[in-house]
Amino acid sequence: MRRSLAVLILLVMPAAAAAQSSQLSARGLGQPGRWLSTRSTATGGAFGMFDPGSSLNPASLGGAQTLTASFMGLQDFRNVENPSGTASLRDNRFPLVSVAGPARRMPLVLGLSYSNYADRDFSFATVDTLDPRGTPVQVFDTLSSRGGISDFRVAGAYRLSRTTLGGGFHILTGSNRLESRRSFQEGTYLPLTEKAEVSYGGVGASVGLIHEMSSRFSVALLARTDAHLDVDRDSTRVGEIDLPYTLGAAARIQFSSRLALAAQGVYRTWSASNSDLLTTGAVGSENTIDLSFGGELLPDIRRPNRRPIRFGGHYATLPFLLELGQQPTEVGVSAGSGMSFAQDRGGIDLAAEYLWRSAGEFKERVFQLSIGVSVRP
Amino acid sequence: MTAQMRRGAGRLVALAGALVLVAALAAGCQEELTSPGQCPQLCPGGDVRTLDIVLTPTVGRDSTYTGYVNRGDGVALLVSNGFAVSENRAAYRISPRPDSIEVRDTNRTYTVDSVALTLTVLARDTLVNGLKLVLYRISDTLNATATFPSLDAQLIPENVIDTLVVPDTMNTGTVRAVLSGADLAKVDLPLAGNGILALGVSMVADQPTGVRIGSARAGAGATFTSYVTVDVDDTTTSVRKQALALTPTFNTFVTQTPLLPDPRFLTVGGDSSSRALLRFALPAEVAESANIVRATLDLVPRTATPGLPGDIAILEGRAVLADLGAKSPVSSDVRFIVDDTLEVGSSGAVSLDMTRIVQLWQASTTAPDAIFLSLLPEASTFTRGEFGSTRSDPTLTPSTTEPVAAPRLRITYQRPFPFEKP
Repeated sequence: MRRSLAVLILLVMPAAAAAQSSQLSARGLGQPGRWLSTRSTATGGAFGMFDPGSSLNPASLGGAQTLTASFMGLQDFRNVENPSGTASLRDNRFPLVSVAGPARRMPLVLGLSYSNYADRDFSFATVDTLDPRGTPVQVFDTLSSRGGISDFRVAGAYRLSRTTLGGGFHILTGSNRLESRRSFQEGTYLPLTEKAEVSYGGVGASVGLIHEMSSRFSVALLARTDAHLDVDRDSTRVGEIDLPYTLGAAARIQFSSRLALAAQGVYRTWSASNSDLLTTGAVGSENTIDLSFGGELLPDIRRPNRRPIRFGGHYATLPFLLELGQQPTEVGVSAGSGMSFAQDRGGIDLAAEYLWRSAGEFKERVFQLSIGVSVRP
Repeated sequence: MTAQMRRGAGRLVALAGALVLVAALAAGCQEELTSPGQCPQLCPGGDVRTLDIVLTPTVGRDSTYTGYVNRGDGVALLVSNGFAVSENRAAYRISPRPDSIEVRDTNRTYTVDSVALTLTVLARDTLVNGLKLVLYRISDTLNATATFPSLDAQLIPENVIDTLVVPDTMNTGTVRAVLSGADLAKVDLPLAGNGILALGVSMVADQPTGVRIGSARAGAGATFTSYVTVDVDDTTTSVRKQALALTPTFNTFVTQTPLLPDPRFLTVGGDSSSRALLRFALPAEVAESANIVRATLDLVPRTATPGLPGDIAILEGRAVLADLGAKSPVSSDVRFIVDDTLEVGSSGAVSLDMTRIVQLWQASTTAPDAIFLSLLPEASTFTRGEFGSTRSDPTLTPSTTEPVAAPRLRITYQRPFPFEKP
C-alpha cells in the first residue's frame, strides 16, 4: 500500500522543469540534461552510471535495495557575458523525480523517473536600429522561452550474480512557451507581442549493464537511442528532429573501505540532429562528450549515509552551436554531502557545483546548489 | 577535546552549513532570467525584419460623394466679403414673436421699448482688423431654396438694421446691437403680420476675409430679444416689464459660386459637404498573417488647402463597416476613427494614422478594406480638402491632365515570428 502510494505521489507531482538553464541553451533543443541525482552531481557525474537515483543507466536500478522515491531541486546563480554585455541571473528548477524498488521474490528492480532531457529556459533583451520607411528607429526586443523536453522513463534492472542488466523505455514530451516582444522608441509604432507553444514528442529506449569485475572494481555500459522528435507549433506539425544515440562507459573502484573513485564518459551523437536543425534555420549541432571523475569518502564506514564527502569534476561539450566552428564547452567542479535520518527512511543530499561554460565570446560562470530528498517508505 | 565536544562542534558546523544553504535557496527563489542578447548567435528565429508596403486605392474605386449636410444644418454659417475661397452670405429666420403676453390668465398687448440682436462669432481671421457684421432685414419667406442672388439682392442699404462691430481683440464671442426709439421701425413686426423677423448677414473688413458665425443647430444662432411693457394695471416692474427672447427656426448661408467636386480628385468638406471613400485591397501576405505595427494614409493636396487662416478643420477617417457606396455605414468605435488637422494654406501631404483600421481589416471577415474621409465641421467651414486620386495619379492614369499623386497607404509590418526555428 505504501509503495503504491509513493508511486502515485510521484506520478501526480508537477512535471520536472529543467536543469542548467544557460545562454548557451538558446539554440537547438536547448541545454541537454545529464540525468543525474544530487548525489551523482556532487561527484561531477562520475557515479551516475552506478547510482540508482540517477536516470542515466537503467542497470543502476539494481542498486536499489528498497523502494525509494527521490526528488531533486536546483538553484543556480549565473554570471553571463557576451559581446552585448553582462548580467547576473538566477533560476530554480526541479530536474529529477524518481521512484524505484525491488520486485518481490525476484532479483528485479523496477523504476520510474521523470527527468530533464533538454532545457530551453532563457530570456534575451536586445536593442537594434531598424530602418522602416527609410528612417532609423530604435527597437527593443525581448525573446523568452520557458520549458523544455522531459524524459519519462519506465525501466527495470535484473540482477544476475555479478552483472546487472537494465533496460528502459523513454517517452519524451514537453514544450517551449515562447514569447517575442518588440517595442519601438518612436511611439507611432505599436509594440508587438507574439506567443507560441512549440511542443515535442518522441520515444526512446536504453539498455545498460553493470558488471562487478571484482569486489572492488565495477564497470558500467550504456546504450540509448531516442529515434526522433516530432515538433508541433500550436498543435500543427512543423517538423521532425532526429535525436542522438547515447553511448556511455564508466568504472568504479573501491580503493578502501572509506574511499571510492569513479570515472565516466558519455558520448552522444547529436550531429544526427544537424541536418534537421539546419533545415529549420538553426546553426546546427555536433556530437558531444561528457567526461567526469569523482569520489566519495566515508568518514564513518558503519554509517555510510552520514555526511559522506563527495567531490568531482567534469568536462563536457554541448551540442547546439551558437556559431559555426565554435562548439560550446562546460567545465565543472563539485562537492557535496548528505545525511539520512529516521533509520535511513529519509535522506537529504546536497551538492554545490561551479561551472564554466563558454562558446567563443559567450561565457558564463555558474554556481549551482542542488538538494535531493529521498524517502524509503 | 573530548569526543562529546567534537560531536557538539560537528553539529554546530552542520547547523551553520544548513542555515547557509537555506538562505541561499531562499535568496534564489525569485528568478532573474533576462540577459543581454546578441544576434544572430542568441536569436533563434533569426532576424525579425520590419517590412514596408505601399498601397494605392484600387484604381477607380476611390470616390467622392456629396450632400451629406445641407448648408445651415452644420454648426456654423459662413459669411464673407471678397474672400477668394468663396463669397457667402448668411440668413436667419427667427421664430414668430407673439402679439400678446399672458399675464394673470389674460392675454395682454404690449409695447416694445427696445430690442437686442446678437450674433455669435465662431471663427475669424485674427490678422484682419475692422471686422463688422451687417444685419439686414429680409423677407420672412426665407427658406432652403434661397440662392446667393436672391438673398444678396435684399442686402441693400435700405434694409440695414444695424452694423455690429467686432472688436479686433475678439477671436470668438458674441456681438450685440440694441435698437430703440425710431430705430425700432427697422424690426417692426406689425400686429397684422406673422410676427416673423428674418435677418440677412453680410460683413465688411479692412481686407477681404470671411467669418464663421453660430447656427441654430449648435445653439449659437442669432437671438432677437424684445424688451416690452405689458399693457396691465399692475405697477410691479417684473410684471409690466418683460423680455421676449427668440431664436431662429431656420438658418442658412448661400454661396456665390458653389464649387462642385472635380471628379478627377478626392474632395472632403466644402460647400457641398463632400466625403471621400477610399477602397484598398490588402495583399494576402499582409491580410492573412502580418503583424501591423504602423499604417499611415498619406494624401497629397491638389493645391494649398483653401480656408480661413487660423480656422481649424479636422480631416476625419472612419472604418467602413459595409461597402454600400455613398451610404456605406461607418464605425462609431473610437478605435477605428482617426483624424488630423487640415492646415489651411499648406500644400504638404496630410497623414492619418491608420494602424487600428488596417488591423480591423485584417481581423474582420466582413469589414471591407475601405475608409471614409470627411471634413469637420461639415458644411460649416471655408476649408476644403482636395486630394489626388487614382484618376489624377500619372502612374495609375497616364492620361491625366493634372497630375497629383494618389493616396498612399504605407503599412509597416512584421511577419509572424518563426518560433519553430530553433
